[in-house]
Amino acid sequence: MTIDEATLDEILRAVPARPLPESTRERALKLARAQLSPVPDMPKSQLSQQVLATAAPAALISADLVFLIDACCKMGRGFGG
Amino acid sequence: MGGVESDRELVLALRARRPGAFDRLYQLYHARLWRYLARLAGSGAEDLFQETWMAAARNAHLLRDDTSLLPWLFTIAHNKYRNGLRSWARQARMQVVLAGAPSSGPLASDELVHLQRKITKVQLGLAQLPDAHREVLLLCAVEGLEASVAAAVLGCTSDAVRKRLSRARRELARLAGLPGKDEAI
Repeated sequence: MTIDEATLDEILRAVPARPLPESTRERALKLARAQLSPVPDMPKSQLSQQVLATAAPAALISADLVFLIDACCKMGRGFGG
Repeated sequence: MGGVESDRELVLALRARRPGAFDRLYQLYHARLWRYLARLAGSGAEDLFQETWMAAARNAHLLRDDTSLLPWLFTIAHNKYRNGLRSWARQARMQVVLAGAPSSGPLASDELVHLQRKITKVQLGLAQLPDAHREVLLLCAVEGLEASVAAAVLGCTSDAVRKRLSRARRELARLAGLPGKDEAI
């Protein structure tokens, strides 16, 4: 029996690979997401301006409010000033 | 990569750390990466698969504009395989090579039975090949990578890939009991 390259490659491609276990598929993505490098730190002044621009009123009654007050104080202004 | 989305667009999104970009990368390429690793590393494939994606996530923001993403993932997987888990995977490979063996379900004809036997022989031959031969066969013959791209993955020249591929095919045919035409008596 003889075989040429194309036929051998065709048989090779037909060799079954084990199916990816669902648990591995989910775990790999979860672990990978945890490794994603964070967005670089923004200067606090820029961040506080973003919070002011985007925060909905409800969101202000939260840790954002504490941070916002802190950020404004550090900028030398009173809250709302 | 098919569709309107190009690797370049996805690379830019990954570099900009856009939400969902990494999930999209995973969605596009996890199946092919798994297929490669399952054939390469047998029961070591799960660990390699996870390690590869974790490394990809850590480095995605450093990609160059012109990076082709699938070869990039193959490169990470290749390096992981070579550096850490290879010996363990090799021990395990023979235990699982038959676990993924072709099903012995009903076949339509003698021709199919014959083909199935050849597939099994090639599968067993593949497991016995040296790592370097198995890798080049999987990348070029199975995954369809050009020699230049496989060369980048394997860290060698295109010429070396072509030569290695030729030797790997001959060796696989021999191990599978399917000698190439130029070897036939």
